[in-house]
Amino acid sequence: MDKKNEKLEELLGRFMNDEQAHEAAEDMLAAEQLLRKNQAPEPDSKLLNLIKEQIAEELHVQHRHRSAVRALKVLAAAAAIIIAATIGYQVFNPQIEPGRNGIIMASSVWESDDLSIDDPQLSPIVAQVEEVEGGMGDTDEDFVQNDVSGVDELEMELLAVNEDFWKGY
Amino acid sequence: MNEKNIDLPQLIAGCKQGDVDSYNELVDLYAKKLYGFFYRLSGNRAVSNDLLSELFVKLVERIDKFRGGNFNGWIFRVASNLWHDWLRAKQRDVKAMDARAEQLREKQQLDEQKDSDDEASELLDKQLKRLDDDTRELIMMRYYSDMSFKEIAEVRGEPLGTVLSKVHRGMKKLREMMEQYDHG
Repeated sequence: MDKKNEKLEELLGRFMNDEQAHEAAEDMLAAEQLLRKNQAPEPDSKLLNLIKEQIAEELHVQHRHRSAVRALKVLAAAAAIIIAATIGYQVFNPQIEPGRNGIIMASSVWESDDLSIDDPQLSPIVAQVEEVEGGMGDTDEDFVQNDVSGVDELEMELLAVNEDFWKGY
Repeated sequence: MNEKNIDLPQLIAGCKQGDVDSYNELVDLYAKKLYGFFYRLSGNRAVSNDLLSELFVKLVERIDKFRGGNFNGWIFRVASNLWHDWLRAKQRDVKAMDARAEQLREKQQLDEQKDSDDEASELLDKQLKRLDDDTRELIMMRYYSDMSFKEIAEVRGEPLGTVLSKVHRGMKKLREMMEQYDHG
């Protein structure tokens, strides 16, 4: 309820008797009449224009501020999305870093039996080892052959001695 | 501007959206009432000019805080707060005032007297200044805001009976003082 619809005397009657309420209402209305009769000066039109300019300026500042805040929010949101996406990608697509938990040698190397192919630096050494192994084989064969003939000769000589002994030589 | 043709909620919504035209309409609608309120309290045009400008700038900053309801009450509460801030600042100034500042104040008082439009209005200003600050503010809020006593009591956070009693005593005193002048 605004002032115009307010029943003043009735309202005052809640705090004082009817006669007092009537007098009080009259005092108030008379004082309001005095104020109406002696109006306060009105604001200058220049002042009002100045105020309107100030408001426009303030709104402009507010708009710029809000735009800057909005831009910052968008940037922050974009940064958050990028970080979340990066973390998510790493979590759902784990990659083993080379040198830490990585593969020691390629599977082709692992599955091959030929060291000289797998590691070119090893091939001369492998060749030398194979050469030495070959040489050792030859020596064994010679040794076995020589040894067999030596034993045979010895056995023949022993048999001959044995026979000759019984003959009295 | 005819108040009856204005859709105040729509105007406030426009202001909240940062619409300059809505603010301009609000200035046209309230400037006279608020200027009268400040002038009757301060008795000084320069102070009233400053306070009115400050109020509308504050309005731009704070309009989002208005959550609906009695806009008259809200805007006059902002005006009342500004007036009290000004009074406090003035009291600080007075305490710090030296002889030179005292001379300036006297000059300002002379200027204030020149501001008064006519003799009767000047007399009313003087009689109003004889009322205590609180009563004077209540009377002016009642006169310029068009709020009911119940609304004023809510804005001020005082019991209805207290507000009625203060306004009645103040208005009665004002009436008696002005009648004495007329008869004298």
